[in-house]
Amino acid sequence: MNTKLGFIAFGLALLAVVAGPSYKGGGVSINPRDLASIVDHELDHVTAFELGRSIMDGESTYIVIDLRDSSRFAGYHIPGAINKSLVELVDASYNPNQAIVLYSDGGVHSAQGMFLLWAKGYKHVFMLKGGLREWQEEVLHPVIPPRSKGRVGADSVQLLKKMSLFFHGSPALRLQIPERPRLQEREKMRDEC
Amino acid sequence: MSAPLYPNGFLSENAGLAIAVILGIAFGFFLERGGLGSARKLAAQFYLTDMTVFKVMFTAIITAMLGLFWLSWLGILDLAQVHVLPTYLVPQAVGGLIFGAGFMMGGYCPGTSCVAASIGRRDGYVHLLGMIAGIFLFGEVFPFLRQFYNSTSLGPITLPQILGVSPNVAMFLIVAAAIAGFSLATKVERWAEHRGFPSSKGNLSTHP
Repeated sequence: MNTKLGFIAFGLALLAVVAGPSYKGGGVSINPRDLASIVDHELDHVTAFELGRSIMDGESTYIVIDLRDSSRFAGYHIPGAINKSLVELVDASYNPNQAIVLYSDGGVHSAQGMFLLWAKGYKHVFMLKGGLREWQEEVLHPVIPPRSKGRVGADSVQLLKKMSLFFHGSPALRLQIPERPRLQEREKMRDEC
Repeated sequence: MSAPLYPNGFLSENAGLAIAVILGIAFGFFLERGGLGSARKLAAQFYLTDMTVFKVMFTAIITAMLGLFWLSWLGILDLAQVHVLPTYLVPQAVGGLIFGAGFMMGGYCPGTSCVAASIGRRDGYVHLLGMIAGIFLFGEVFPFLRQFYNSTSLGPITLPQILGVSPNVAMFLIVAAAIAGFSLATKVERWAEHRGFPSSKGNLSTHP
């Protein structure tokens, strides 16, 4: 019996030598127009507010991946996030239906990671709009107007406060009017440009 | 319809998980029926008196390899969508040594320890607990190992790339090596038994 199976395996292997290449159905194909359309319609990102709210409400279905180096990750990261370098990100396997949110300090690294995962065929990959900076500004330390009128209603103010405190941030209760930089700061800014 | 079924949306997540459970049970069942639930049989591999592990593993490799090739040749499976694990040469070699040392000392590998535990062997339970503890320990010390873990990355390379031959020729060479290996393994078993090395049938003393 074993000898027969051995002969079958040998025969199949011998036949394979002359059978020609195996089928590779193109694997991953990228349609640049589709990708451009996704970016144009802003379907490629989630905002800090959306992510924060989904985590706070316990409804987040995202895997959140922090693409910064491990020392900065250890310093602070979005609760529940895991730390991966870009190489680790593309080497890993994910559930194809799993939604993934990538973030870095700004948006460059996460955009690169998002395109790499799209190229690997993962369709539900998003970047955190504005990166960790926007997370800090909008979720951890949001600037909340003292009176709830106009666009920002009382409910929204309460939600912003609640979310900020949930993530151990500190909502700032002040008018959202940017102060004019002082003369020294303006000169410094001009030098840095 | 083209396999792999799950990435191409032909299987839901729940159906995929259900099939994984069924395949896992079947895998364990056949390992047990093959005698690989016994630490004696597994330990005898290292004394060369019982080459079952070698034969089972090599059989699995060539069966899967030929199956994947011919299914893809027939257009049923898209090999480009089959994930190839990346190679990290030194960390994986070190991991292999640790794995081998554990296998030799305990008489089980992770899969066979599950099989042994499932049929009530106490040493299987101990091995399983050790494995779980090891997973947690590794998770805790991972930040310190991270640099080493990611070192000597060669990417998802394959044997045909290393050998510089077509996948078809590499496959033929592997099957030929397997058949030669099976024949040699039987001779090695006889030689080792003749030399009186500990054997699973006789003087190999491990926990039943």
